[in-house]
Amino acid sequence: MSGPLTRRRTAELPEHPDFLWRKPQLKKSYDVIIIGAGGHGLATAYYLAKNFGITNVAVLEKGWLAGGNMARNTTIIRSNYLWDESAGIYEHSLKLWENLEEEVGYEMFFSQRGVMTLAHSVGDVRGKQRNFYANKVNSIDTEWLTPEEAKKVAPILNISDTIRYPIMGATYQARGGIAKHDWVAWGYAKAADDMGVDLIQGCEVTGIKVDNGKVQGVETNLGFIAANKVALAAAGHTSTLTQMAGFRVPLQSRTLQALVSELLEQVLDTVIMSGAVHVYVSQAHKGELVMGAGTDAFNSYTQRGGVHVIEHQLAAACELFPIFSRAHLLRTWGGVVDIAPDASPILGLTPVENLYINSGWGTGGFKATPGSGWVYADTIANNAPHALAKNYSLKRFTTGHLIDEHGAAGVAH
Amino acid sequence: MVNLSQFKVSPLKGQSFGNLETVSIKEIAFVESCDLRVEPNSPVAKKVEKVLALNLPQLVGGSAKGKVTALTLGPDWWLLVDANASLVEEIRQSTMGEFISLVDVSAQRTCLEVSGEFAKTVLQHAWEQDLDEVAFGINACSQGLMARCPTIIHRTDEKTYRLYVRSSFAEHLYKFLVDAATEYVK
Amino acid sequence: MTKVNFEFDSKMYSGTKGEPLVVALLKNGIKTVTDSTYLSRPRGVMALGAEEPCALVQIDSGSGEPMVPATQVELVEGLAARGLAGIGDLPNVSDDARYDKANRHVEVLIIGSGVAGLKAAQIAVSKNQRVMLIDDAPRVGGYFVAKNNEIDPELLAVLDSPNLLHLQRTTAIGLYDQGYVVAIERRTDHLSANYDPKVARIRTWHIRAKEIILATGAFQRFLVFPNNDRPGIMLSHAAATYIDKYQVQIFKKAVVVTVDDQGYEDALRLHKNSIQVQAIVDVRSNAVGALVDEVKKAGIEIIFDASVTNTQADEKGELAQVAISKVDLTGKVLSAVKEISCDLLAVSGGWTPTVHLATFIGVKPKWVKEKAAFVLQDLPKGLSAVGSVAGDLGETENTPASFFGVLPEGELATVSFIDLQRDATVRDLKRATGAGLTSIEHIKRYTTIGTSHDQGKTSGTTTIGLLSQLISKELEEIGTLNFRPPYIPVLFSALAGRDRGELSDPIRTTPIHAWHLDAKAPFEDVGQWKRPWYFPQNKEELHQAVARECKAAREGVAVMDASTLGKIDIQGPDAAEFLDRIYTNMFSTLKINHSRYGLMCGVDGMVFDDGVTTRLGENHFLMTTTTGGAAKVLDWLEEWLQTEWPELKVYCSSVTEHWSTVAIVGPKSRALMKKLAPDLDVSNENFGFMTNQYAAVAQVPARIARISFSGELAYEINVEGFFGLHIWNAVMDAGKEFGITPYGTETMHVLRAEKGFVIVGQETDGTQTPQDLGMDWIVSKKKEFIGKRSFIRSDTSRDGRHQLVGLLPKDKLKLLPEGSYLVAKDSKQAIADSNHIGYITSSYHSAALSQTFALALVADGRNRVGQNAIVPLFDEQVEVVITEPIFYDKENTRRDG
Repeated sequence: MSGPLTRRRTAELPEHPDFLWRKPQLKKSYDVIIIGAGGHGLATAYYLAKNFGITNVAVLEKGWLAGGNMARNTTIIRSNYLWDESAGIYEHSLKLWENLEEEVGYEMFFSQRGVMTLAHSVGDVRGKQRNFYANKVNSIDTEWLTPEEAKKVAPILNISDTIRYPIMGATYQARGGIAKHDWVAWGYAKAADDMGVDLIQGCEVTGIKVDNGKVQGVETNLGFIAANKVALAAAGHTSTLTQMAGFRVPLQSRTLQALVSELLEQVLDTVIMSGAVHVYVSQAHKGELVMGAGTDAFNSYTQRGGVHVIEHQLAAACELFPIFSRAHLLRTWGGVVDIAPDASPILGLTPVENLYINSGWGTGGFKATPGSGWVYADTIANNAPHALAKNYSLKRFTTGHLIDEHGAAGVAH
Repeated sequence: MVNLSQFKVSPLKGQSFGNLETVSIKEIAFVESCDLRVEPNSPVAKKVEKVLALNLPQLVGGSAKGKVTALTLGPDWWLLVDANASLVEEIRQSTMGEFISLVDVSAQRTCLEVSGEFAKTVLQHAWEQDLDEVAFGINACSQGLMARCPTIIHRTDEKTYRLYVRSSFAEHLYKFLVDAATEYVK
Repeated sequence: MTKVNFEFDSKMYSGTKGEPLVVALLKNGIKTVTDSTYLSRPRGVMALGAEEPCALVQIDSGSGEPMVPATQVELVEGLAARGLAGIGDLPNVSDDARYDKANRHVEVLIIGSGVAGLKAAQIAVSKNQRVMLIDDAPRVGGYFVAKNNEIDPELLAVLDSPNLLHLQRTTAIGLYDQGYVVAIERRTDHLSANYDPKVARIRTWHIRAKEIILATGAFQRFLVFPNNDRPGIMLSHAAATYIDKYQVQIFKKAVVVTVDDQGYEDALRLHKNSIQVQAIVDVRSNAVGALVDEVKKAGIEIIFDASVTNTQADEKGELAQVAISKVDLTGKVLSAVKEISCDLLAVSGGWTPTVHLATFIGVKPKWVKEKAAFVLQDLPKGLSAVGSVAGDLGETENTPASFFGVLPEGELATVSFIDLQRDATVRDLKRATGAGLTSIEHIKRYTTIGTSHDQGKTSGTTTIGLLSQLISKELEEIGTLNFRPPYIPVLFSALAGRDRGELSDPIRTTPIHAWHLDAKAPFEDVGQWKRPWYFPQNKEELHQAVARECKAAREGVAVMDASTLGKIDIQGPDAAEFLDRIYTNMFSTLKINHSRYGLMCGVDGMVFDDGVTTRLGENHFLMTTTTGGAAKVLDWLEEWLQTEWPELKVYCSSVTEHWSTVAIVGPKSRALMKKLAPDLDVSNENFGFMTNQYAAVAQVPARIARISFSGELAYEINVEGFFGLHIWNAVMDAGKEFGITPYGTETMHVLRAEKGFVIVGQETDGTQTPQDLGMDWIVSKKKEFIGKRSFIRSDTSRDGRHQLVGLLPKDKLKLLPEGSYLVAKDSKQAIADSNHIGYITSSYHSAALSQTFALALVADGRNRVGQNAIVPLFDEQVEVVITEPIFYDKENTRRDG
């Protein structure tokens, strides 16, 4: 079985720039404070500066910049969600992705290599077909693939009808793909910093000062910082912050895990997701497999999840892609995702004047990074929800106008 | 009287595998069983105990043997194994009008008896709970998922275990255990 | 000492069975194992165990495996391997080796069977408790045995304890909360190059321990300097062990560079084996004691305040010469000292305790300057550490220096390797700090240091140390990188274990399954259940079979296995009250032996399950649920009873599999029922719709319900599960004269859709109220029930919500795709920002109607009945007319036969 001596080369990554961002002195007050220097927080700062010329902004990060979902991620980018509202914001985001590297001036390895979502039963096909037609009607690019067509796109896919849950078809968004999470975050960070936004690391918010129903600023381990507007962008820790401001939000924080394999010869050049045989996988530039599945079932801030979630998705991967049985699990991670009752974001105003919220992206935050930042910046600048955020108001939990993406999100909650 | 047994088919159709010297896995078909729900230590419970000639164990994981084997699955929940219809009727009569539930669940599960030198070892491939003597002595029982199948396990002897698995899952659990036994059976 | 033949990089060699592959290679004169990933620099073995960064191979024999450190491969006859330049191969051949999983519970788990671990085991087994001892090497003894010592037999006797489970070749890969460890045991690769199909090749152990003792030891780190990566440069303890214990004899002249006394020990081992140790280069200013004296006695020169600062290679790229210079502890090169020719450079860069497992659950190691090591501290209850991982690095005469290498400028920085697998160098580290980064996590991502196969085992502390030197920050301040499971890379198939192929998820079957298999019915997966989809005869396609089955159901008699429906026995004095709260309609008014269709909503007022519930007695009900919703509904019932209404006296029991249900359907079903149950009065007067009778059916006691999901006269025969197949056979037999026709889920779907009966999960997606479905009639105005409050929410009560309607395509044969969307024919009627007005939930050919039809959810649907709409498909616009959601037998006259 041994072959001739071969030494292989693998894709080299270009280098990050020589200079990234300043380490500025923290000011006593800002026009806008953004809490959380994750992808969304950084993108928001960028668009505040870029689209509105608002640069007297501080992004406060209690840990190290972009240390949350942007530090490890399965990075699936797509816009083929079910509901019109979701399609709106995710498609806006995808359109921004398509020009992002050029606009921000940073390599992000944005690769539109397609995202395939498999259907494994009659009921599954029905549900995915509805998603497919919904996308068509919203002018979002989508195709329906037969199992044979799916195998043409991904030859390593097991389309045999003897596996436990045979593939019966798939949706395919050709414009979907992946990008490198750190590079995206650092691109936004550097560009924002270049425009004068202050990125403050090691700064933890310990209190939110509210007077007469209006936000005044934040208490931090580095002292009190006054602000005209305060915007929450702290993902899994959102509810601890809203509590400081005196109101509650219907978010649950759960662990979401992801994993990578060691570097392997390129065998998969598209992104494949399966709800029924629960796993989603892509193969990165360098050669590692990147995989994820559902959240752990209980609320937690520990950033570590159960090993059974890993075992199940590896078994799922081996069923769908027999060639992976010899790959090695190299590393697993856990992060904290915040999930709303309808698995859709909460973006917009809050009961506290000039305090804004952007949260609830759950397991789908990465792909929304540019769209979310854009819409949030607009909402903050105008003190009114952007058109694409109208339906993501906190108020919908009272009116009942939920946007239930549990199934469409493709990830088990 | 029609002999109804001639019409019965068990979920595993009486399959068996292996031997007692190493490990044996076989279906004990048509076990009669009844789901008992009653307030523990209540007067009603006492009436039940009287009919069954046993004390209903209080702690989950206990079992008792009298006219039936009672497995404690919950604070107010027992599975009565080998409870035939007339005995159940007797309990019903003696507790008429009281708050009690007796539900025939004979076909809800089937029984797999796993026994032999390697019985515990094989089960440890599929069961995440502690099966060693110190935690699971003879007569202990427990409930959970075995190879993703809802299963109740009852240790009836030093090297013998009875598994009560939901009937629709039985084939899967059987295949799984037979596969696990492959390395041990001679 | 068996001699074996093996293949490496397509050439044949021989070696000794059981020796590490790296040893066999070295003994055959092979120092270069592979090229580096990006720079194609020759690389050889550097370390002793799993921490090996360079010598990665692809195993081609046996089951095959990519990216295995050659230090971990034991030689067997027929082994075939090749060097890998950092990227593995995935052979497209199935891996038929066996992988499984085992569970164990113990009082004490000791990870590591070096001397410290053995001593801990000795104490542990002496108490009356279960002890487990695991270690990743082939044999016990760790560092002590590597130094060619023998373990005291009394200590070894521990391994025979009856209360000890001892496994070697078993690596703990994860430590999780509450005393949970996952370990990988390699069981057969060392026995044979071929796997045994009956014996698990790798076993994944899931261990729950009350107490975990980490005795995982430590490994050395190398030093960073220009050209520090050549084959022939090794960690000193590894070099000494290969030479002294394994008797590798290919090296002639050595230099040792060290930051601690370990270098002296290893120098003496080399010297003892006739290696010419030319010098010990010690970065410290002085060293004294017995070891130093012995080194001096052996005539080995010691150069203090110095380090190796460059190396030269021969024509093969392997080590030929080292350059030594005076340095300071910040990594600054001061002045050249000399150059020495040698083919072995043994590097003792300091010991790094193997702390990873503890860090997986959040323990933060602490830098102890006197030991120049990150040591475990503040271990949580139930976790302790012994031996070198606890910081017990031996009593040394002289303290180690916190020195990690030199930080050259320019060209030399580009060949000073920090992460050998990533070819990441000092230049990369300097760029990172130059870019403004100070967090070790940022630096890791900027430079990719630590992200490769070895996950920074030997380079991690070095990186932190160099960073400390570079930005003049104390190591304690910088902290460590986050380690994450698994400790070493693990095969996907090992963690997948037995959950593969047929066993990957349970297949749930009914008692009648064998018959369906014989009939060669294709199956539909409904959750984990396999349900017959249709029963083709004579090579029929789906739609042909369905047309025939529907016709039989509407005009003759057809039979279906309905056993999969969820069934819950609900009893107690408050059972009726409970059901009134759960369902939207009244159940307390239901008569005994009568059945009623019920709908249940979530607290948000949206439909979440439905089913027919029968009253068996005053305080006794049998609820049915959808097939897929059974577990969810039982959980729902229990949640309310246990957490909200514990005062209600109700008990629930799952009886889904206790009952098997065979439904006979159609105008001829009465006659068939009569034949099957001769003693039963099947007249409509006696046996009315939605009532139950008890009778012997085919001699077996049964409860028969007149429930119809098709609108036809129908009887659902419920028997104890054991009799399911018997009843089915009896029906097929007795039904022959009536042309009995078995039907599956597809036909079931069509029949109910013709009557406008919804399927929860198809006509609903969690956002429909009963009113949306046109089921106002089922929403009680008299009582409270779960979800009622939500009906008044503004969005839930507004006009224009999607409502259930029917659709008839103008082209009677055009089958509309399920899931396709509709637009208003006059697009000025577009509603709410979007030009679509709804979507199709169900769509079929109807034999009874001789045309296609569909059910759909359409905005303001009920007001649109009679209007036209368009279903835009790719190549055509299909015109439809919106109708009431019922197409067949609108007056419900057929149900009584």
